[in-house]
Amino acid sequence: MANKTKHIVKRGKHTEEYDQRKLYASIYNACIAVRCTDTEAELIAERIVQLVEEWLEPKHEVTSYDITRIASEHFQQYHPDAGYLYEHHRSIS
Amino acid sequence: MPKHPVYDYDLLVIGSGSGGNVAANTVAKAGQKVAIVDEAPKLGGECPNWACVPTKALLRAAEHYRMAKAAPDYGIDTGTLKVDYKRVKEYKDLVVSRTGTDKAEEFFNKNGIDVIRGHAHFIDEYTVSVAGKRYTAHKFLIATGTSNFIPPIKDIEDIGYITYEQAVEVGKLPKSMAVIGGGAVGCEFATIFNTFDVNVTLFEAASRLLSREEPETADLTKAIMEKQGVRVETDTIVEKVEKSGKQKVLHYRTGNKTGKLTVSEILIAAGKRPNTEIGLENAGVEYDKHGITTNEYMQTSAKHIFAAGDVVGPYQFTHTASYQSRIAGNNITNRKDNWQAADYHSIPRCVFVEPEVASVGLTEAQVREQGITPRIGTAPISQVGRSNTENFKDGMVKVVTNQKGNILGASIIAPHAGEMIHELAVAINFDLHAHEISHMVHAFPTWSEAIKVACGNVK
Repeated sequence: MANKTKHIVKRGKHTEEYDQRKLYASIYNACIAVRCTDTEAELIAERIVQLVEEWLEPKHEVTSYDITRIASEHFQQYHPDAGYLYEHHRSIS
Repeated sequence: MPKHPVYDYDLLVIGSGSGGNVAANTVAKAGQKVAIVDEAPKLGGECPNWACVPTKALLRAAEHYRMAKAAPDYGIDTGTLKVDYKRVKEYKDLVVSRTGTDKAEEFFNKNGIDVIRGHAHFIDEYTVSVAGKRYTAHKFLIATGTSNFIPPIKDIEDIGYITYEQAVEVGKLPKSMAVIGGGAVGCEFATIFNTFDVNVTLFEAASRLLSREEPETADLTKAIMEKQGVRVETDTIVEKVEKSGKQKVLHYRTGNKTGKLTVSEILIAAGKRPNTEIGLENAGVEYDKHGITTNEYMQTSAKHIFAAGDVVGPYQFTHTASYQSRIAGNNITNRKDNWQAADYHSIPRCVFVEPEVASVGLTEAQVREQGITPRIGTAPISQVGRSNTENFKDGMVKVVTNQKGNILGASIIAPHAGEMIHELAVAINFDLHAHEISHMVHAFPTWSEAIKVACGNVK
């Protein structure tokens, strides 16, 4: 991703810097929770993070909801069950 | 009393093309504080910079070349003809410069409109983020236009292609070209490059060119383009491309048959997709794959956010975009009892091939879909005196009416069809009968006499 800082507006309206590791971890954990292997989870997390960052490229500031929405859309292609868990994690837990 | 929120702007417009700038100027003239956001390298939208205006300039140059080639038929010797395409492009650049888009920012500022450069993204329903800064507004107009749809052809990204944006900037003509997409844009570029002696093959996945138009119109357009030297492959999918030296090889399929074609350049004109990636979800604006959903007042599902232009549809024309923008501008500045509603039933549609193709209203099939049994009147343009004097016979007029004879739709293929169609647009707009047009005196010898004949032939 280009060397520009991306800002994420959180649900409480405060802003955080985009953190690739947080996105990766949430995708990876959703995959593991639906019994993907480590390798599968890593591959899916890497690919979806890459796709989200491509989408994020021209933007400076987006909402955390945007990130969830875009990642969930890509999950449909790679693992819909894990995607469901990822998308609804907060409302389920 | 609740405290009224303070916004940076009364109206923030996203997109400076026809869908955005008409409303921006209207609202600014009404004394409101307006800003326009645009991320494109040039302001003014596609039409003046990369689409309608440059292509029409290139078509005009091509027309001169075609006429010069045909001049000996009229007793005029021209000597050896030569195309200096660098100068053709210079003419195109001059035409584009005359639209004034290079001075658009100055123009907006003079009208009291701030220009903000960058990609706009909604953070919430009253805030957008652009280039790291946030702007709030009481109302918004989204006019973000469309982007090219690139069909899923294997290895197309690696082999490379051009779209209309690059096609108008070409400085040197390729020897051969494959145009993928037989809609208006594909047909116009096929005409431009074919006229300048490029060996053009036009691929269309549907069973006919200009698939939204009357079948007769599409079939005749195909026949005329083939007569002019364009190879047209309908019902054909390009599946794969590969490199062969400096050339590009297309692998295509027509039904069960496969084929290969080697060309110097590939131009993709396979349609457009609405630019909706601006955080619409954060603002509560509904959209689907066809674009942003609005009511007839150009108002989205978020009541303070309006939308206009190609990102809305139903047509992707400059004249529709500016029409919608005018309506949005009115509705943003006025109380609801003075709002205007959009009406698309007499919007003309033009394809600037040679001869021009123009239509308005419903096609025969669309009339039948509405449960109406249509009456039809047609006339070949070869029937009118102008055809004789111009030595040109390829064209037709088709008029579709209801049983009472009210004109519901019309199509024309003729020189200057784009001018002629407005007579029929007026007829549809004011609910005229075909016999009212056929009883009206049309000047001799004009192409418009074919409209009179077609209306008189309605059965």
